Amino acid sequence: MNKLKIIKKIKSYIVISFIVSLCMISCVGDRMKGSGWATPFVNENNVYIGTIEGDLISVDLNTAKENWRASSLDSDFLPKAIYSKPFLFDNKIFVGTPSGKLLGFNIITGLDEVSLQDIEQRVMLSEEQIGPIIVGNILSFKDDYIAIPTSEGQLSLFQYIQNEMFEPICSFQTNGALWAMPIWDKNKQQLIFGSMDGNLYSINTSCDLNWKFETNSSIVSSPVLDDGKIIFGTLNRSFYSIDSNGSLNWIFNDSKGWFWAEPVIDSGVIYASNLDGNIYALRSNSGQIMWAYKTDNPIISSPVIMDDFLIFVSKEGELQVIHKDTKRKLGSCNLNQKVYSSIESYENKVFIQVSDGSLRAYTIKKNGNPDELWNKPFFTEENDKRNNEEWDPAC
Amino acid sequence: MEIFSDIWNVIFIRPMVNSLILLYIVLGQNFGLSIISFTMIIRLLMFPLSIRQTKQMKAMSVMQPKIKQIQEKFKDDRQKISQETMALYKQQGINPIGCLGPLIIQMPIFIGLYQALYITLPSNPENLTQLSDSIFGFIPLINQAVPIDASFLWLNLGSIVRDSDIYTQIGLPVLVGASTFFMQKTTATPAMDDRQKSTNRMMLWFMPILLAWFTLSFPSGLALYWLISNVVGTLIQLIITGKIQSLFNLNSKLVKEDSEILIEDNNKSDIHKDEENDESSRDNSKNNRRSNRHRSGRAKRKQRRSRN
Repeated sequence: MNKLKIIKKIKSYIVISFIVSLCMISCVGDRMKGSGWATPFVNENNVYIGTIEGDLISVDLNTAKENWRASSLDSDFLPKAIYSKPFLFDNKIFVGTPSGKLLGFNIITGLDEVSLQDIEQRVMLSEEQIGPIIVGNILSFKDDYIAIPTSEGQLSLFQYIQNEMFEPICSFQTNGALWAMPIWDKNKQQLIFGSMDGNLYSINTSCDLNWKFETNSSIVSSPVLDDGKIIFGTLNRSFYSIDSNGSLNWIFNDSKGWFWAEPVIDSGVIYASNLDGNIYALRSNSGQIMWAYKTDNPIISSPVIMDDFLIFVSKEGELQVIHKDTKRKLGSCNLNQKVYSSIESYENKVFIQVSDGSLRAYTIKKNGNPDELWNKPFFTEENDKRNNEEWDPAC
Repeated sequence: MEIFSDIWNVIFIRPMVNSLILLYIVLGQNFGLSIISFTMIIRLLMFPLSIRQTKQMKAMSVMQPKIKQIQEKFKDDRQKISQETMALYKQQGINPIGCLGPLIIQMPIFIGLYQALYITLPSNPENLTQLSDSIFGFIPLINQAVPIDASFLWLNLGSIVRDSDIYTQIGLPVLVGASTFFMQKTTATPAMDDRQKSTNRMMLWFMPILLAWFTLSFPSGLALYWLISNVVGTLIQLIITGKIQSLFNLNSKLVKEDSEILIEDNNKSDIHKDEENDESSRDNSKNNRRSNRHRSGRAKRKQRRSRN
């Protein structure tokens, strides 16, 4: 073949590869599709989970059998994946949806036995209205109040009124998205929540601002209360402790990544996961570092404490159990899938939503080794064929 | 395979993500302006390549008659035509593949930018966590800028065009298609034979339509990049080929001629006035001086013109 022909061929190959890469780019998955963010919720012997497909499912904790499914809560809305953790209120399971609805279901029967016309059972804040996306977890407090954080930066307070369901009380607007769950400080009667506008806010139940603490960086992690102190991390790699009046106690900024997830506190020690792949153990009174446990991958989800065990899962799906004092590794299990959801613990079991659309359950043995609780994971998509296929246990 | 992905990230994705965020910070937290200035920087960096491409294109079009002669001379021997054409290219110092340079460079930038936008403007919370891996730790300012505000004019730069409002759904693909058309028109390689001519003609229409169609599946930010890149590329091409200068030259000639006519008319009226007020006006001498100034100016201009 002569040179000119080769050059012509190269030219056409380049043009074709350009077109092909454009095709690939435009066809690459569904950018709006979620990856399994919502943390499961356990109540008695059932696990409730908001799924990537936008369903709310009740699964039997022991057998992994589906009890009921409320399907396509946001069928016409993208992203339809549910991000908010379900919660229990007045014996109903509630979940916030991406289209800004708050839906409630009979805890025993779900939608299967509740007529769609029976609006009091299906319940809603905004059944018809498309509202702002609910990503953060909803807080129920003071017996009959709920606080809903939204992606449009609004924290809305509602009061539960029997039969009439929730009645709006007030709302507080911030300049950034609210992805973190608020907390209720009983002593000071204040709601505390972080915003992506870089402030931590304290408001009362009439939505009046008590104080705000400026960090100049987005707050995605939910704050935690520890003996009157508020503890939270930010995306500018800092971790703060402030008192309940909003003044700084200490700041820790020796990490190399974002503090994304809610920390846990046990016996005066804060355990905070970081996107630099470390779990940091800090003294809650001084912010002094006790130890850092290094993993190979970022940790997005919150750790949990179970007896002497600190359990966490990395973004790449490695579930690890370490001793909370000595940071000695006790057991691990590779889920081989990305994990964005936080871990829900119940007795000696942990439940994790995984980005392949499955709910995984593990028993933490006495020696700290995780073991599969179910024969196979529960795949959350309706009629998912994988539920009938053979499964090689990860642990 | 992972090593390629790491190299790709280090060479393209991380620098792009960080440059975009830095520009975003510098330009008053406006991501649209960040994309526009990023595109212009890329285009300016590619400027020498564009000049080379244009020179080659010009040389190729100059050689067209010679190539035609070769084609006619060896019309029964395609191999000989190729050999002779290549020899001619070699003789003239032309690399026929050289004009693909900008396209080859654009490809990884375009794909990289898609990924960079995907990371920088996440469409869901999960994707925001990817940004943490991509930003440079030694620039603390970048961490503070997260999350990026994706709004620009009426657009949400992170959302897919197809999922946007009707104006965006129609407007952006049309603008991208039209700008691609003009870009192609200004950078079209001269055809050597009828087959290539028809291919060129087909590509001139096919690529804009294809890109307009793909735009529906891109985030608005990527469509904005493509649009600005085409507009800047077309302007650069017009400057290099001298089309803009000739346009300006033509304009300036017309303006010059108009102004000269105007000056002459003014002079005429001045002279007329001078004659009328010759004896009575106290400003007579001033007017005379002024008309003299005009006359001498006109004479000078005439001289200059004749010299030109």
